[in-house]
Amino acid sequence: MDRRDAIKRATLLSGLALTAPFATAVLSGCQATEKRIFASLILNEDQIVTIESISRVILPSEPGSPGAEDLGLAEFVDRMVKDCLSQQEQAAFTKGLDNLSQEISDTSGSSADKAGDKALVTFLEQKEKEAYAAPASDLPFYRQLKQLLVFGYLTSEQVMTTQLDYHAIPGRYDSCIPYEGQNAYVDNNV
Amino acid sequence: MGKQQMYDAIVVGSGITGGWAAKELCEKGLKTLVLERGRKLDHVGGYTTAATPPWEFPHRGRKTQEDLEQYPIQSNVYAFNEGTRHLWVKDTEHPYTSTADGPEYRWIRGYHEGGRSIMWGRQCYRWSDLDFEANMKDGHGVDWPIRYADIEPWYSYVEKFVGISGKKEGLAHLPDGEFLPPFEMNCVESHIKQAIESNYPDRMMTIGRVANLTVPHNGRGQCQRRNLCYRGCPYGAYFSSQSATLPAAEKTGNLTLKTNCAVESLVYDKENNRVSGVRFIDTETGKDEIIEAKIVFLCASTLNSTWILLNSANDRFPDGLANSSGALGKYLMDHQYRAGAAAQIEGFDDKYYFGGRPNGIYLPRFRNVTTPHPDFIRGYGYQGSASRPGPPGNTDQPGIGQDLKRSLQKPGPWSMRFIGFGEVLPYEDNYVSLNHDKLDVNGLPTLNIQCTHRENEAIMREDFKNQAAEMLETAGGKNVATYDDTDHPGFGIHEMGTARMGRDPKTSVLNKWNQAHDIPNLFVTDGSCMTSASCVNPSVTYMALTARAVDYAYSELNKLNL
Ligand SMILES: Cc1cc2nc3c(=O)[nH]c(=O)nc-3n(C[C@H](O)[C@H](O)[C@H](O)COP(=O)(O)OP(=O)(O)OC[C@H]3O[C@@H](n4cnc5c(N)ncnc54)[C@H](O)[C@@H]3O)c2cc1C
Ligand code: SF4
Repeated sequence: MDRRDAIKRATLLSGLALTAPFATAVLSGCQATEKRIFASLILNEDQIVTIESISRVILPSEPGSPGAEDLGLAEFVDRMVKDCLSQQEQAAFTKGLDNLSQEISDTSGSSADKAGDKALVTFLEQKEKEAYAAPASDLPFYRQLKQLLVFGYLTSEQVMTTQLDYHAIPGRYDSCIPYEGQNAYVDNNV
Repeated sequence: MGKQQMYDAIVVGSGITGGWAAKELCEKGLKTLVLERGRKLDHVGGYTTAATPPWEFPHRGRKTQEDLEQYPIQSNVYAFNEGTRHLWVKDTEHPYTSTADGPEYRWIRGYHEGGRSIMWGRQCYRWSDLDFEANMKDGHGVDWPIRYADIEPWYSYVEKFVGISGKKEGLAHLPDGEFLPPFEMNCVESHIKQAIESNYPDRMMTIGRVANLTVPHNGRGQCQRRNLCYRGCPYGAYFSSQSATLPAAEKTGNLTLKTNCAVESLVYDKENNRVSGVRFIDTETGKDEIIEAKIVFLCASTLNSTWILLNSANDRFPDGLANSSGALGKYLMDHQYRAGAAAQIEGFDDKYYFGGRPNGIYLPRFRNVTTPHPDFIRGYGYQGSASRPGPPGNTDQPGIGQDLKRSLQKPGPWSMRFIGFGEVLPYEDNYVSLNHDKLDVNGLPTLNIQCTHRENEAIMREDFKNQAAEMLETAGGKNVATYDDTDHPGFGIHEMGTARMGRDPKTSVLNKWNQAHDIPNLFVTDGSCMTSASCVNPSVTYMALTARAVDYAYSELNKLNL
């Protein structure tokens, strides 16, 4: 039974969209594989699968550096869309996701979850070109979605504490220090 | 309705000015009652989000639709987010009506112990005679009844207690104060300062003067550079009523502070022409009470103090208590801001900073200081800062995969931003009045606020955008762009006037001691007393005026004049 079917069956049973991304090894690779399941608040299962599929490629898991799946970013996007967008924005957002999913099958010949990383990379590289050529005043949906994913990524505990120069209590202000490629300074002020 | 025992003094409000009035009155040995309409908010223990990291907020700090519905006005404030939401009034619970044509008036409030001393930006600048003489010189508004010399010792007095970091610059129109060591400018700010000062003989840039402790002060801890002040400081490292004035008042044993007590009016004793006490509603029980005192200090914030006076009208003062002049409610002012310019600054990619400095830079007024500007009167100053955008603000980045993840980890290019703060003139028809047909939860009239900014403000605004852009260009900035977010009166959060001080009882509500011309034992020391608006942040001036007024009231009490 493939994953999509598993989700469908679970949905039939519970009436809720469920997803079960598998956390990849984080940091030293010693973290156990963990199953994350969430009840979606607003997005349907296809939309969640679309987010999961592309966010895995946009923010991949690497040894020592968590990715979208490890951080449950699909769940994060679902909550943000539900709570932070107006009804009109929600409608535009879900339509944007449906269109994105359609575009993926049109260009790759299969649905987002079956398209495979290579096809998704090709697709997303094309998307990136279009999206960043557009004026920021008319933000294409892809860029909106990506911003939300990136925001969820950057404000997650794992990323803040292991991938950035995070200080809850810096204790001092060094006004002018050399920049030698170090990671950005961050604190609790978001 | 119960009547309770007599206090020497009652202070209405526990924010910046109420805290000061309480401290000064208590330290003079007066039994003082502070009535605060909002809930209790304990120092440290009440700062429930002070150490919360972003990932612990369900929306990582962002506003929800529910926030926009419940806080349609307050949620516009830059300091409103998931970590501070609980510190702002729910607009749905505290309605008012505002200007019908033109941008809405934004009345920004926090109703809790400490008032806005918890969420304020802490910038503290002295006013000068450029401000105190402005009305007299150009004929707008009435003359201030005081000059810099009258308030100067009181600035020193409050600054020594507050703890204000800053750098002495020797400017006549932005006088130096009693400063703790200054915060530092970062590399790009220093560069811009140098570029501006060598190209403009009339301009200079200094580090912000801010009520954050760069060294331990009066038993309070020093700032840990977390830039998280709006949530309350567990170290007491910035000035608030909770960290500073209320504990000092408490220590005397003379303070009684009652929260959840919304003052609705003052009780007037016609025979003796005095205020005999205050009438308030216990917001938890809904019960009405009166408490008496020898003197009353209104410190409920500009529009709330004026609301109390308007709502205390009687047959002797039909247009509002202590309003024989007719000036009460009129001449509402603010600072106009939310416009300026920003630019990218190149050549500093090998420079960075560490830590969250809760402060920026200040570029003092240069218009109409020595030479009159042909197109507008008064002036403006700038706040601003230079920074490298970093996570999590840098979300809009091209790329995917490992490359994206790497680039997100790095700070972005330097940019510098100037935000103008411009003086607004006192116009008689910028006013507040009571809506007797629109009542609040307590069945009391709501406030009607009518306020627009006019031609002088508009011309000045263009100038401060253009000058910001020009200075950034002069400093070698790239992609220099002006910006202008709609100017909403009130949104400078420096609302002033509506019970102004003046020399003449026929045209002003308060005398030079913040004492009502009409009623000697009534003092109003919050922003409603202001006769003009200056262009610099007003709160340290309110503090100095409050301490000064208490000193006067105390001596009058001793002379049995009150
Ligand atoms: C985000 C922000 C940034 C700011 N930055 C700066 C800055 O950098 N520099 C500066 O100088 N100023 C700044 N201000 C403005 C500053 O906060 C105010 O000028 C200052 O707090 C005014 O003091 P106050 O005592 O008059 O009013 P508040 O501090 O607002 O206190 C008034 C108190 O009275 C209570 N009250 C109101 N009505 C009643 C009633 N009827 N009965 C009983 N109690 C009542 C309120 O609940 C409140 O606790 C800023 C404000 C905000 C919100
Ligand atoms: S930045 Fe400093 S003053 Fe502000 S909350 Fe943090 S430690 Fe306190």
